[in-house]
Amino acid sequence: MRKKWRLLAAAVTVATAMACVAIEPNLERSGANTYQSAFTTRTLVKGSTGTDVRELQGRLKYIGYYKGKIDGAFGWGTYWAVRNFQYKFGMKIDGKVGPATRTKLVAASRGYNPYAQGRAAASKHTASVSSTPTASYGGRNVSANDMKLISNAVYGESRGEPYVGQVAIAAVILNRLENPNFPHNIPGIIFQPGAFTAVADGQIWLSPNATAKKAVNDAMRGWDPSSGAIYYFNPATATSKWIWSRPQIKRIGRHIFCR
Amino acid sequence: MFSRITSFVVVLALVVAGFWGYREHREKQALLVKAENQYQRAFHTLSDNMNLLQDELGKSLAVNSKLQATNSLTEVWRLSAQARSDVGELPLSLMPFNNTMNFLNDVSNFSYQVAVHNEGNKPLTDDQWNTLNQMYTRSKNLEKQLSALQSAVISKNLRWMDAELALAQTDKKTDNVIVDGFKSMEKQVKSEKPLTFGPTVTGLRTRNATDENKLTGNPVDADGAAQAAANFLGLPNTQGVVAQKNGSGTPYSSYSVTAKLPQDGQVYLTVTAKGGHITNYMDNRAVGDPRIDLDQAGTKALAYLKSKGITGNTIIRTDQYDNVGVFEIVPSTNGVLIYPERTTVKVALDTGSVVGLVAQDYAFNQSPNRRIPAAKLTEAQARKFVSPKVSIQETNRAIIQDELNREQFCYEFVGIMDNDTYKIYISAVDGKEVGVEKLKM
Repeated sequence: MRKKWRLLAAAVTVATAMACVAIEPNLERSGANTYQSAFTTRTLVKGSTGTDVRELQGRLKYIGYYKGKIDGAFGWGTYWAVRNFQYKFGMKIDGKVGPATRTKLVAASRGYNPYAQGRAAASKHTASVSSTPTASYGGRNVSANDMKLISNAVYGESRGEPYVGQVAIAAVILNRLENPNFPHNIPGIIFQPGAFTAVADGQIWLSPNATAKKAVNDAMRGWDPSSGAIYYFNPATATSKWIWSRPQIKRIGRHIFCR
Repeated sequence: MFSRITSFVVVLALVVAGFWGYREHREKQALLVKAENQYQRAFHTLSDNMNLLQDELGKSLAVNSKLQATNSLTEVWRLSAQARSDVGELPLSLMPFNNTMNFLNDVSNFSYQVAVHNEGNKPLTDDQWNTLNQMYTRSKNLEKQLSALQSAVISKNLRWMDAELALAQTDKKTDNVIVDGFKSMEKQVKSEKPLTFGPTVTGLRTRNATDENKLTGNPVDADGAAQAAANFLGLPNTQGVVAQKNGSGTPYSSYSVTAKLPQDGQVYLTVTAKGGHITNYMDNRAVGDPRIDLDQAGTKALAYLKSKGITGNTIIRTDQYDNVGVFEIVPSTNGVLIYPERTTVKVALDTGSVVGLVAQDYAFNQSPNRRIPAAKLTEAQARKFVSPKVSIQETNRAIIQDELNREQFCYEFVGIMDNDTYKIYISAVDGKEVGVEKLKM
């Protein structure tokens, strides 16, 4: 009985080993044969995101022009790498990756194969771009996590409101940044005791939907439907008399925005 | 027999419920104490910081040498910022406390300007000394009230949780010692005459204020605002365009305008009351999968500005989210980038149509015959003010606004250090560093 098991085990081991030996080079070869560039026909510029940007970064890294992370977001690092590449290859230096630069780069980085190099990052299945890049608001950089906090607050405070109303609430949070009456950082504003009902009752920890995130993105880039408001309240539920005394600006959905 | 079992079960249930209730109560108490302690910590730290703040203000008055004054004033700057942050941790957002916060902010801005940004290391001028002296007296008064309140809180065991409750129920008349203490502080600061500052601190204060005198054109009424919006959108008439005057709280008086576009639905605009300029335009139509790339979208954004009669020919920032491309655009005249006249254009990547515009900076700062001052420094001379560790990739000439809202003619050096990209602005007139920006994306 025991012998039988041992025999079986040995057989399985040998079979696996053989399979590995047989498959491994096969895998690599098939990878090399079937790997096609993930470039698309679109022109890539600073600000572009996507699989083709990964491809661009991977190839630039392969030939030593790019030193940053392969994250699929065409930022300043990628921009300088492209310009350097264009300079070295005697092309027009504009930092854009159009058909000419693309062709030159594919030719210059022959042998580039993200699969053979075991770089899962370049896999087409994980093509989606990683986290939202940081953005800047009024000359100050706001971290990706602070942007998530704002989206959470916007979702907790105003889901179900019209889209402009949600952008307006994100704008109110950002308007507070420069106002002397409020803390000068995003977490300080959001977690100020009594400032937001969604923080007080824990609704801020609901996962925000795509609409709330989009609203924050719009507000970060300067869209302000609240016209410079720093307070808002829901007249149906507001208990504070003081908030009614603030100079009102306008009403969007259920909220009155004021200064 | 049966009733015995029942009564046993009932008694057991009561005991269990009682025990459970007791435990819940204790846990709740523990949480309340924890929350209370957080408030107490912020409050007592605030009092401490105010105490130190007026010490340091006094010290900076007592010395005459620039070096020592700078040391004290740097402390003043730090402590006033810290005090503001302490206030932010207290549940005071439901009561008026803005005058006190403004006072702390002024102290902070003033000490920063005098100590950190002082030009030429001069000792305090008489005006500065007087302002500082007023700040000292006022902060002393504030501190006196605050420490009296602090003693009351300690000796009478006053709880911030009660103050918070009292603030939440404003329909009733409150007689909470903490709330009253802060209210009387605020009242006192409010009764004082506003402090006088030199132009630099006033500039800091009005950094984001928008000066309506800079707008061109005549005041428009609601019909005029609707007409301006219709013209902007290319609608034949103002049918379906609704303009509503915004309330008095806006930074500049304006109208909120809504209109319906035949294919996109509702759009939203902000129109200035003076001149009928469009400062904000939003079209929130659903955007489908991208069919054009960012490069093409950028061209569309520039063409759009041209069609609206807005100058702007250089894209300074591009980014993309949710199938839209967003472009920040400035005009470049004779090779000089005019940053104060910035616009932001949002292009839908499905059809390439423009679905948003921010033109507030442009409306307030554009001037068709802007004079570019003569540069007193050459590019090579200005470059010497940039660290040799930065490898400069690009140089431009630019007009930017400094932190006091003044326009400055600068050399813009775009360079890399440690894989990060920086924009460094050196004044072309006197070689002073006007600003540094670390670029992300």
